[in-house]
Amino acid sequence: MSRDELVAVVADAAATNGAALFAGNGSLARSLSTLHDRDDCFYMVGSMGLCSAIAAGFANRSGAPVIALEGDGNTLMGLSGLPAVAKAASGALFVHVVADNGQCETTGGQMTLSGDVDFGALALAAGYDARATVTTVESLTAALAEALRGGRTLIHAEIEVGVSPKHPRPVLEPVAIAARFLAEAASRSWSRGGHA
Amino acid sequence: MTAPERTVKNPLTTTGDLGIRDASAVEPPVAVRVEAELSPLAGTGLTFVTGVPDSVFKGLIAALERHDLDVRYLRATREDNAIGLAVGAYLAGERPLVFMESAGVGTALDALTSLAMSYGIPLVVLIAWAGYKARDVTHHNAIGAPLGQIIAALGLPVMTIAERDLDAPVLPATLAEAQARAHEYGGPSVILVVPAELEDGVGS
Repeated sequence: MSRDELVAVVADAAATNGAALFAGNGSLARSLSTLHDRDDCFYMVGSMGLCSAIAAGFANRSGAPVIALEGDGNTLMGLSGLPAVAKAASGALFVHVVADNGQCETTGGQMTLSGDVDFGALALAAGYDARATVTTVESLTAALAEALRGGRTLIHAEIEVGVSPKHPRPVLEPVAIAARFLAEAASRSWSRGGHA
Repeated sequence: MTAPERTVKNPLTTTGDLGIRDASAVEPPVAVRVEAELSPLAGTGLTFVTGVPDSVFKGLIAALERHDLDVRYLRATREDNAIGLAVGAYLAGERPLVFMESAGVGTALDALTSLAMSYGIPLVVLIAWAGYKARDVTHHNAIGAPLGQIIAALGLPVMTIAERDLDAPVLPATLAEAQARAHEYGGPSVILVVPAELEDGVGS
């Protein structure tokens, strides 16, 4: 499964299930924003490691189904936040997809430490309800369908390196990404407070 | 057979014959007052809190744990994921506060700049100023001495208050002012809190 194939499956699952989709900085946000842009997508451009925290903070306060999509480098950087993510997402429908190519492809393919890491075990230990490991489009599709039934699930998805083309950065400026997402959340009653 | 007790009327809507409120009827018993303690968020305009503890926030956090735990108060493990949680909450319509100590600013710097500042998220960031004027222990002084300049270099709106101001009636107004500055600025606004043992006339 290539990165673009994974992104297509995740974007389709989010759209089909009415889930908000948060994409980690780098190749995943670039692929998603270029190929499957939607108003309910939030693209990170920096703050590496925080994709799942942003997504969980939103899940906690919105009541919306949420998918966080990030690479193994992002997950490893944000590991200390996993218990906070699990607690914040308690009671929410929260799917955390880790697209693992074993490297930081955006910055030139440097090896990460993912090879010896059991992401699903880490998630369960931090308080998630379920885990899955997938390597194909079919198994990812099935795992997403199962995960979107409820609870907090980490899906560890192994993807191939160097297959998908490079995509440009998100066209929208960060402030426009936030404003668009905020408006979409409000229009779908994913906004409990309402900004003054 | 004893006569039924008189019905106790709502003291807030009941006045005596002369239209004068009976103060003893209005004042609830002590036990009721404790139960009726308000969330620290009440009256502040803020609707969501997360952060990493410091001793000057002891009372604030204890009250948050009593009233808002896992709902409007989420625990974070580091200051950067606190900013992440707060940005997510903001996207759901909340008005967030993030608390941390001086040292946490170092941890949170990327989250503050590449996330909160870049996306224009009007967080209120409450920072316990350990190391203020280098009057503290070495490791606090190392970040505390330049902290004001670091915040100024970021260009964030900043207010400085004393630790005692956290317990003062003026706190909701201070937090409202910080939110107004955050909205005017279009990004995070900082409140630096000078610990009591380090201050020399800061704040009220």
